[in-house]
Amino acid sequence: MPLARDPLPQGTLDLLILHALTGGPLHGHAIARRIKAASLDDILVQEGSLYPALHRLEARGHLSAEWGPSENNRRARHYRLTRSGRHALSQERLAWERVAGAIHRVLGNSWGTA
Amino acid sequence: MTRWWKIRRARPTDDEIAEEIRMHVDLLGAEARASGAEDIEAASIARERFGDAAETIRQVRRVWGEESLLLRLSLFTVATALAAFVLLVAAGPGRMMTDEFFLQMPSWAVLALPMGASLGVALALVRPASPSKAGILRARAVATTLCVGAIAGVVTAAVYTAVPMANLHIVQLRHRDNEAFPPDFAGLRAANVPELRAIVSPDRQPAWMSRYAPPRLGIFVRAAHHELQKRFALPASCVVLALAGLACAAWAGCRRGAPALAASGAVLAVAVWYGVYAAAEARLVDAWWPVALLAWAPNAVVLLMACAALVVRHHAERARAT
Repeated sequence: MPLARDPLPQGTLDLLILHALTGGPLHGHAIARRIKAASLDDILVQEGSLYPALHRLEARGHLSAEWGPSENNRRARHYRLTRSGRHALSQERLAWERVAGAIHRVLGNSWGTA
Repeated sequence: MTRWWKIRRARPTDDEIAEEIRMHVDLLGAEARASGAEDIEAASIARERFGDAAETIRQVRRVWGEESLLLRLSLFTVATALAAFVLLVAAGPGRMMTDEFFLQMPSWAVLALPMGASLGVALALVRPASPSKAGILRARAVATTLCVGAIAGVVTAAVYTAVPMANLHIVQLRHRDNEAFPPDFAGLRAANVPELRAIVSPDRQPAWMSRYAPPRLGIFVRAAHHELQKRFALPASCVVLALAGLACAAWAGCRRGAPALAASGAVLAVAVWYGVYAAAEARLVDAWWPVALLAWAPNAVVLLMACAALVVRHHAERARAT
C-alpha cells in the first residue's frame, strides 16, 4: 500500500508503476524514485509494498523482467512494460480518469445550498 | 498454455527474490548515508522505509503461487499425455494400425497413467511457492500427491475395467475360426476379474482349460494370476509413482534448473519401476517365484526408494536447520 500525505485509492499503485515504466526499463528502487519525483514528493511509496505489485503485474504478463547491472554495478532485476502492459495502462488510465472526473463532479455540486 | 509456460519460466527462485529485496534495502541505506547518516543509523532508516522485508518476500512468493495453481494442475495432464505418446511410439511403428497395436493400446494407456503421475507430481511440486510455511506446504504437497495418484489410479482401474471388453471383441474376431480358442496369453488381458478368478481357482476352472496340458497349464494359470494381481497393482502404482514424484520434487528444491532435475528423477523412477516390472514378468515361467510378489515387486521397490529419499531429505533439512 503506497504511503502518501493523503492515502491513495486502492489499485492506484499498479497504474503508477505501469506509467513509471513507459520511459523504459527500471529496477524496483528506481521505480519508487521516479514516482516520488514525478509527484513532487507528494506520493511516498512504501518500498516494500512495491514488490508484490511488480511481481503480480509480471505474472499477469503486463511486465517482463530480466537481470542486469544497476547504476552501482550490482545485479538488479529490471522491469519492462510489455504490449499487454501498455494496453492495461491505457485501460486503467481511462478508468481512473472516469472515476476522478465523476468524483470531481460530485464534489463540485453544491446541492442547491447557498 | 503459452502464457502458463511463460509464467513458469518467469517465476523467480527464492534466492532471486531475496537478492532483489536486499539490493533495494542496500540502496536505501546508501541514500541515507549520502544524507549524512552513520552506518548503523542508515541501516535503521533503510529498514524503516522499506517495511517488513520478510513479509514482502512472503507476499511475492504468494503472488507466484496463486498464478501457477492452474499451471500445476495442467502439468499432470500434459505429462500423462506425453508419457502415453512416448509409450505408443515405443510400441513400434511396425505395429501401427494393426490388430496387435489396438490389442496392446489399452495396456499402454494403463501404463501411461502411473508414469504420468510421477512426472506430473515432480514438476508440479518443484519450487514451492511458500517454503516459509513449511508445515502447511508439506501437508499440501502430500495431499496433492495422494490426490493425483488416486485420480490416476481410478482412471487406470476404469480403463482396465472398460477397455478389455472392447478388446475381447477383437480377440474373438481373431480367434473365431481358430481351433486354438480360447485365446492365448495376450488374450488374458481381455478377461475381466471374475473370469480371471475362475481361471486361477482349481475348483472353478472353465471346461475349455482342459485343452491345456501341463506344464503349459501351470504357466497359463500363473499368467492369469499375474494378470489378476496387476488389476490392483497397476492402480496402486499410480500412488506409489506419485510418491516418487514427491521425493524428486523435495530433492530438486528451489534451485535454478530444479524442474529438469525433478523430471529426470521422475523418469528414473519410472524406468526403475518398468525395469522391475519387465524383469518380474519374465520370471513368471519359473514356478519358484510367488506370483503376487512378481506383480507387486515394482511397487515395493519404488515405494522403498521414494520413502528412503524422503527420509534422507527430511534428515538433511533438519540438520541444516539446527
